[in-house]
Amino acid sequence: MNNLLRLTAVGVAGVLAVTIAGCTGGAPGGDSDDPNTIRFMIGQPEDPADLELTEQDMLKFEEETGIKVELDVIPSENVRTVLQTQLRSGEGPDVFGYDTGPGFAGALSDAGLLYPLTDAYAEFDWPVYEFAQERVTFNGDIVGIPNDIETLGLFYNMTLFDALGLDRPESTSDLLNACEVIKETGVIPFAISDQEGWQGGHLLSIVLSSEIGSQATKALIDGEASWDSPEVVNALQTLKNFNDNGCFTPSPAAVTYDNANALFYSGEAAINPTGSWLLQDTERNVDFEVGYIPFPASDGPGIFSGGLGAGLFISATTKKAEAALAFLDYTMTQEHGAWVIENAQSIPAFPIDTTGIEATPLFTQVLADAAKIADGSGDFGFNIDVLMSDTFNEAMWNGVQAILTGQATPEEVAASLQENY
Amino acid sequence: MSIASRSLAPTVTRRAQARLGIVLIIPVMIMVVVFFLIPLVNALYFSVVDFNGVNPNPPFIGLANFERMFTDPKMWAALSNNLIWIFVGTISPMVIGLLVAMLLWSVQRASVVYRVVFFLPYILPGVAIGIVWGWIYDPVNGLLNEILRAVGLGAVARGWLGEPDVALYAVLVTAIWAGTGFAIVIFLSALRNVDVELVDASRIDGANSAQRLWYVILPQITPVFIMVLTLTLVGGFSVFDIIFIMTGGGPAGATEVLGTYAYSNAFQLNNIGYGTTLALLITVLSVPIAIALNRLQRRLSLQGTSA
Amino acid sequence: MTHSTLRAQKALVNPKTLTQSIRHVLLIFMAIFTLIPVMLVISTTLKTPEDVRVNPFGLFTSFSSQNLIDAWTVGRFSDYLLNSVLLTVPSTLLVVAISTMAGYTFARLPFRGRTVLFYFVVLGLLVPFFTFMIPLYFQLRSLGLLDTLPGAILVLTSTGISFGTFFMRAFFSDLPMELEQSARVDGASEWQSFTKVMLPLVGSGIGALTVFTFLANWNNFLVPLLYLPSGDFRPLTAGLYMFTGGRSLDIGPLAAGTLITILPVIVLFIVLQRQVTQGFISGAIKG
Repeated sequence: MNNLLRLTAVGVAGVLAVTIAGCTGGAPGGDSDDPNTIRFMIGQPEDPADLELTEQDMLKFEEETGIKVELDVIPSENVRTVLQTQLRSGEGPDVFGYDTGPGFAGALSDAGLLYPLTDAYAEFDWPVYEFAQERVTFNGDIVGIPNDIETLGLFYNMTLFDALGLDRPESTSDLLNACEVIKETGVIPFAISDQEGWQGGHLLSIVLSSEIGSQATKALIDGEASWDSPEVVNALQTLKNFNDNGCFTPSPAAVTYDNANALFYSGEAAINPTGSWLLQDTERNVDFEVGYIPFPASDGPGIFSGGLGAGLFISATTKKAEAALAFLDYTMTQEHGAWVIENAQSIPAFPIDTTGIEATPLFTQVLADAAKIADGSGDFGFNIDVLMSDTFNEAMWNGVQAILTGQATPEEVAASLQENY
Repeated sequence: MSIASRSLAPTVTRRAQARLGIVLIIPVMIMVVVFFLIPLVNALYFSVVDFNGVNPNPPFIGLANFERMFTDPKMWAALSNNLIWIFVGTISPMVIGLLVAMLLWSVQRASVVYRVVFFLPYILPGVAIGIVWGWIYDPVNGLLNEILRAVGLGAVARGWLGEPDVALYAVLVTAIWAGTGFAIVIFLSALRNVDVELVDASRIDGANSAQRLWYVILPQITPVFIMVLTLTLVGGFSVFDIIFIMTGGGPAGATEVLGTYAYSNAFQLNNIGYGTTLALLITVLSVPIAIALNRLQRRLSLQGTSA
Repeated sequence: MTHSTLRAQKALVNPKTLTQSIRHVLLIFMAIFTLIPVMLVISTTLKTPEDVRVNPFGLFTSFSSQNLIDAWTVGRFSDYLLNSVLLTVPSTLLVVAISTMAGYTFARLPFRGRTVLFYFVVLGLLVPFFTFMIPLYFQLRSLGLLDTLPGAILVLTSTGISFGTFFMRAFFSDLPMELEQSARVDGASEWQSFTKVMLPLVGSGIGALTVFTFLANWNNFLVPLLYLPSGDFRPLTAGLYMFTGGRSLDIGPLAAGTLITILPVIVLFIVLQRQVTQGFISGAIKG
């Protein structure tokens, strides 16, 4: 009996030793495969139809180049954890889609997990917009290809505005006035949702960018100006004022993104502050004319806030660099750009000749605005949350929620933003 | 809970028993060691280092995480939410459960149907419960607000899950809805073991219903009562699923509890060390209570009247 | 006998019947309140997709199976259902097998150090999962078990064996010692004594444990969420959650998915409700 006990103890101790030794380490990994097959990981797109589009795209790529793409789809919340785990253990995908901000691609770049693309840009002559290139440059290297540009702005029910004799709002007082008029009719002026929290970041972005302009906003983002400043407080205060005046959906922190959109689509709310990604959905679901404008400033029509959506990156430890680069190159062609515009209604991050492309008038306008942004002839603000750290974003999201629920004052939130910068 | 540790059998048998015992015990011990004890020890390790999930050699920072935790206003806010949760969320199902069980006790017909219906919410997955009640609480076209408006109480209608003062209680109502069934069924079975003659005797002696309840019925179901109390109390410190689904801890932390706070720190903000420290706090709070209540129950069940 | 006939006669006019009726009314009221959320799910599931958009929460305003079809195919709930089965069945079987063996040992097979081991097992009941779920994540990662079906099954199993062992131990303790002794006298080995004599007698315990563990594992949300992050073996609970996270307007399929998630549990429970409630009580009293 004692022997058996001892044996068991030894066995258990052995397992213990092995597991403690490996407790914070990486997993066994690595696989070597056919050089003409690459693994491509993305987060789950919101619309299953988009996934089908992506798969079609992959097939076309395979036809053209003979390179097979294995698609790996992961729940979007988990992309970061899964990616980190796999990349670190050397088992990562060859190509993956990821957010381009410093907290995302930036963090991977810092950890040396991204394949540098500066040479590839020169070699393949990828025509990505300058500002977009900057956003995917970390530590001196360009590390990714921006997928698309997104802008933040206000969708508004043009038909309703016309019926009420309202012009397109070109200042915050116009907007407030419109709000009063619309309220009278029983329609909710703004379809605001903030239950999930991230909407707060967009709201702050559009108000702030329009009000203080792109330079000042950039200064804040780069840390050259303090977030605990009158400008930021004012922007937050603006949101509070609108909310207190009944211009927002009642109890916005209880309203979900889907709900707010539904309110706009059904005509129960007149203005939907969101972004260009929702354009396709909006057009599909409304039976009135939709306009898209920036959130106005107190002294003028304001500017759109723009930012990159996600980007494509290559893993530093990939063994299929050639195939991966070919894949990236494929997405940079005019044809691909046109296809993306027509089918996914997203805005490519490089100049596209839009003649002959089928797009709705609204989308064409959005495209044109985006092009102006991109080639530098237009000014644009920033979508804050893709450029900041998690802790800052958390403070920002909680902060806006708190303002809308009355849990905190604009001053307090501004202070906490600076604290968490 | 006495373990018969001395076998009355002869030595040969004792050895045979021991041999079989060890063999049979190996699977459970392996599981316990690998999947419980080792991670538990690692938890202590994680709480004294600054680990962000990526670095294989995180720097040692001593008790910094603990210091941070005790000076973190958000932790105290979360803890106070836990306490509210425990207080309201323990008393309500127990009281409601007992009352309903007593109602059922005195009803002969269809009691099986009632039992099934009342127990149903308890067996549903937390995710599903959270989602469905999210619909009920929906400010725009949720069932609750629709009903309120229909009966003329439209003024009371609000964004239940989005208002900081109300949100926690709204989620609590859902949790009570889900958890009371458990109490009902347990109490009902315990009541079935109550000596009815004693109750009748006391009625003859002139005791009214309240007195009968307090002096005759309750003492007989005390061990079960304590068990339900223990489970609910301990569960109150580690509550997670329902709050996570319904509000994610929001708005702006109004419904944050220790569980959701630990999760967000560890998995959303990559503060593994801090998240683990918070989780340890949950343990430190719930273990003594569980042990104390368990001792109490044992003492009571030994001296109490069992059927 | 006369007493009951008398009672029967009295019941017709007795104020007691009134009280009974009031009780029933109260109970029915509470039953409806309890069932409303479930009815909401069913009603929303069975609506036509257009009706869901227009009048999402009105009860039973139209009928269509479109939402179910969408959830099952596009929403991939058929996959999730399969995954739930793949996760729950093996882990339940493991828990029951391991717990029964361990329970018997702790109840009936003494050896040195058994008590200490028992305390370790019981510790698992007291310490909330939260405490070690994070380190467990990294440990699984280094064992190569993260994001794998076996890994998740093992974690699910580990969450159930503390309670299972405790539970089965109570059942085995209740069996009289004489049984063992007479088996021994008849020449049975310890193993035979276990399998042929003791085991068959705890059938109801095993049954109850199986039902509980199945329920608990089927409903488990945190374990698949944490330990199957890439979504390969996503079961119904995690699937349902992911379905809400997306920016989709599809409440109809979501309701259908919810129904698919809760229906097996409800059916199982109705069929086995006696087992479950009995089991709970025994666990309570013997604890």
